Amino acid sequence: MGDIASNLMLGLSVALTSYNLIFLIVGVVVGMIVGLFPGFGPAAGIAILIPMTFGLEPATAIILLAGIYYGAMYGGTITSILINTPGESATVASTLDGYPMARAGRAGPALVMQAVASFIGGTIGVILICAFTPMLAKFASSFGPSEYFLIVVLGLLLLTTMMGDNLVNGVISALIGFAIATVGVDAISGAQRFTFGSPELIGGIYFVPVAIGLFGIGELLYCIYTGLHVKEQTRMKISFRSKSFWPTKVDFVNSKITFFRGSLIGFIAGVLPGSGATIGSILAYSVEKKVAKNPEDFGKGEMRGLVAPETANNAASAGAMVPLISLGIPGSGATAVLLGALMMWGMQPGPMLIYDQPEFVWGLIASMYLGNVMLVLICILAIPLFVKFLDVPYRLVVPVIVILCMVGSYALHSSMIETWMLIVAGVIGFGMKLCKYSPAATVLALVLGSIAENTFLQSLIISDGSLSIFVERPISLVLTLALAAIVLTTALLKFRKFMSAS
Amino acid sequence: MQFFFSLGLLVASLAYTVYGLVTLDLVDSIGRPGPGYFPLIIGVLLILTTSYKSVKTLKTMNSAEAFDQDETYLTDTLVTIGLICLFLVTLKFLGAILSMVLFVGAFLAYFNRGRTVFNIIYSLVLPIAVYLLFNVALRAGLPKGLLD
Amino acid sequence: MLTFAKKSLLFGGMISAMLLSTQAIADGKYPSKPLDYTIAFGPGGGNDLMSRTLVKILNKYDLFGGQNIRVENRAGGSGAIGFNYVAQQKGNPYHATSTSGNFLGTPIVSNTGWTYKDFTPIALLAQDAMFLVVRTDSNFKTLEDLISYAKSNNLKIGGTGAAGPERVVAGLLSKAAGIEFTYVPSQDDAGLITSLTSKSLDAIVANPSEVSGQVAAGNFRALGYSEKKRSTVFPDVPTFAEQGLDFDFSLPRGVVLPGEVSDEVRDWWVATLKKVVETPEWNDYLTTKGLSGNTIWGEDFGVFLETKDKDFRGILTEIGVIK
Repeated sequence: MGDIASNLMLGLSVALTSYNLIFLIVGVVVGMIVGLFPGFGPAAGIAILIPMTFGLEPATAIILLAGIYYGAMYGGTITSILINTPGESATVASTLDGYPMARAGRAGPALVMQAVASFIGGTIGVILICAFTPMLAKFASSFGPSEYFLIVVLGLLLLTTMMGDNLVNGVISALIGFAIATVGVDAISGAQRFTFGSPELIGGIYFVPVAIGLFGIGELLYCIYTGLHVKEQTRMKISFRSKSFWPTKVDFVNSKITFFRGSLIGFIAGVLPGSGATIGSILAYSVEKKVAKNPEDFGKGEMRGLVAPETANNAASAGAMVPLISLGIPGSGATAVLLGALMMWGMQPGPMLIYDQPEFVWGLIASMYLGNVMLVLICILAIPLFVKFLDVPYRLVVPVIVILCMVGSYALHSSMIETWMLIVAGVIGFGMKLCKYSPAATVLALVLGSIAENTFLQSLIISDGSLSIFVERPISLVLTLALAAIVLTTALLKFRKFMSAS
Repeated sequence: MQFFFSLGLLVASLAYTVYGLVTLDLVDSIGRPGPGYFPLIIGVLLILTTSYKSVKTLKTMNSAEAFDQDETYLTDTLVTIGLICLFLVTLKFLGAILSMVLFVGAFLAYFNRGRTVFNIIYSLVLPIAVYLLFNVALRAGLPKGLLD
Repeated sequence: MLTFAKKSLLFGGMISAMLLSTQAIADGKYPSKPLDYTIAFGPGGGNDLMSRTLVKILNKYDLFGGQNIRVENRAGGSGAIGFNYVAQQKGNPYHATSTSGNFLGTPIVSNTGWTYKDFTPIALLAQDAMFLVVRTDSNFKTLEDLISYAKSNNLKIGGTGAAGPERVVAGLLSKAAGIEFTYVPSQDDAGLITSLTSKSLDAIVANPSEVSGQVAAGNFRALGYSEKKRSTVFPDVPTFAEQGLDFDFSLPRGVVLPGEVSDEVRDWWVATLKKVVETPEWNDYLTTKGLSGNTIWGEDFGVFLETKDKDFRGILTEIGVIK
């Protein structure tokens, strides 16, 4: 415990420099604004703004991006509550009770409570990060290629089993990511794959423009397609001078356990690869409804129905940082983009990062504490101001996003080809969105695909071609058994469903 | 739309798989999986899933389902894509500032018709702000052109 | 219309480049124009850091004649794009770039249209050689232990990449010691290190900067170093050559100019860079990155590039990456 305290002090000494504080404030404010726009969640926000970290120190850059990451979570909820349009999937559950509350004239209390809930969820999440990251990192130093392979497969499996109705679309999205990942020089054989003899492609398709294109331009085109640019914005008026702006004591008393239950569920969902904030918030909502004495009130403006998903999605955002920092394996689209950014600055996420770059890791964690404090203050004090951003017509926002994406991605490498890739990825991302595929699964698979392939082949080289390596090493055995258990239970559940249906 | 997208993916998957098979070795010199091993697995899975999807969406295409959106703006989307492409083409020749001004100007002239003065001011202020941000604050060399 | 504009631009560019190089020599005054320093990799990597450190020192001590230095990242294709750009500036003394492993490696594995011969070698400023590293709890206390064990057992030795410098060092080691082992390529340095900590591998070939933390913490032990001389940063680690294995391999972290620049310009750069390596900032850079500060100048750098290129090609041909 004393270790964590001294590490946190180290982190605070990094995060509390005035220089880094400014970037933290910029990050959370920009993140909140980005989160307000339909379709733009944390992943898109980070992707679009990666080029802005050009020339910054890695610690400052990650503080900025992490600020955007959880700032966007806060911002996304505001639109969920006020106009029933969630900024992204992780705040969908918040519309269920948030919007009815706003319609019943309780928009103020809903907004304040979501800020408090997000703050508690985020803070509990960060406390748990402090406890788990060093532990997992220490444990993970005994993970070799075979273990890494099994963890990634586990993550991909969880990802697909949780996709539900759109399973085939999700699988195709992930396969597209795998396919893109195979371009370039193969790390194992040294052979060139799908480069068509062009030196531009030896290094593979660069991750950042693809992510910016899929998330940034793709979303933007989809919003234009659905006519967002011709809609006149509905003007919102919120003033916190009115008495009804603040939540009542009853609101707090009723939700006191919900705060912790939601945070815990969210954090666990975040740590598990492939699930993340969306699953966490939906899970927390349904658990809350199940344990409540008045489940019939849910969906009609029940405060706990808002608090549960809000604590959960913020705790999940924090939880998703654990595997990213300690294993170098991202569990969600947004953390995959963060990983891309880390590698761009020459960082090597993995179990050694926390030892080799303690200032960086603990600076990041400390900045998350500070960011949450800042966000709850901004959220409560400046909500009326942020709501004004919703008045800006979308057609005026489009050029800003396009220019930031295009000029930003060009500035990274001064490469025209990469900027063309951005546009192609944008058009594909639009098509995927239109046909209900999942760009986030593509981006995640783009990162996980090469890890899976390389670690699998390395395992085979080490074992001289025998698959027994996946059961001989103790940790591998546990992971293999877990995989088998998941596959069997899902199959069994499907079978029972099938039987009862017929 | 869904059908054509699936079909496009199917064609791309076929191309990916065939090109991989032709250019890459499946096994290496000592019989371990070679560079073409994983691409083949990915390719075959892609072909299976996208052909399933194509058949499925072809069936629903003829029914009334087609779209769940009330109103769509395909022309506007295509115009935006066109403008973005033009922006990139001009970026190299005209330099960053001028091409940004042209892009914003053209975009607003189409999408924000009738507010000429506002559009002109907006298409000057935004590019200059972005230029200052990248070139001055971040020192990330942008393409030089006629104005800089 | 467009092609005409393009052509005249090109033509104008050619003339001005010719004017530039003759002018510099005629005036006897170099530098009289701003310098374009190209970094053939993205921001944040090893090459980027070295280039930016160098330019910072040139600016700080006002070594480039009061002229401006423009730094630009032209990344893509493992250096193919950026180095190609500089190679195209034949004869223009106002372009420079930093070399690293890919400067030799990329043209060997793919058709880039340029090789190291298309550049004017100025100086090798730092050597980026490799450690052979084992876990402290392993039975290999010395290189000899490892070699004698390897004669009768199949060792697993890892390194980053299938055709990179780690592979070359592993190949040279296997030849010089007369042993056979399985080389396990890793996709990145982080994965390589956990492969060793997790006891999946017996030893790894790695860049000192990647493992120095583990060595200092007492988790890893370095058995050998692949430079000709001992590293200026890690003087305790013996070289392979000292231990009776006749080979050395290190990556050139140096500066080159486009081909066919005049001897005066080259000499000017050699003299200037000699001042750069004396600065405390440069020393800090070497120490923090674990790079060895043994330098090689001018023509000798050209010879160095030639021999390393031969080693590289030899090993990659042997393992079948190139034909």
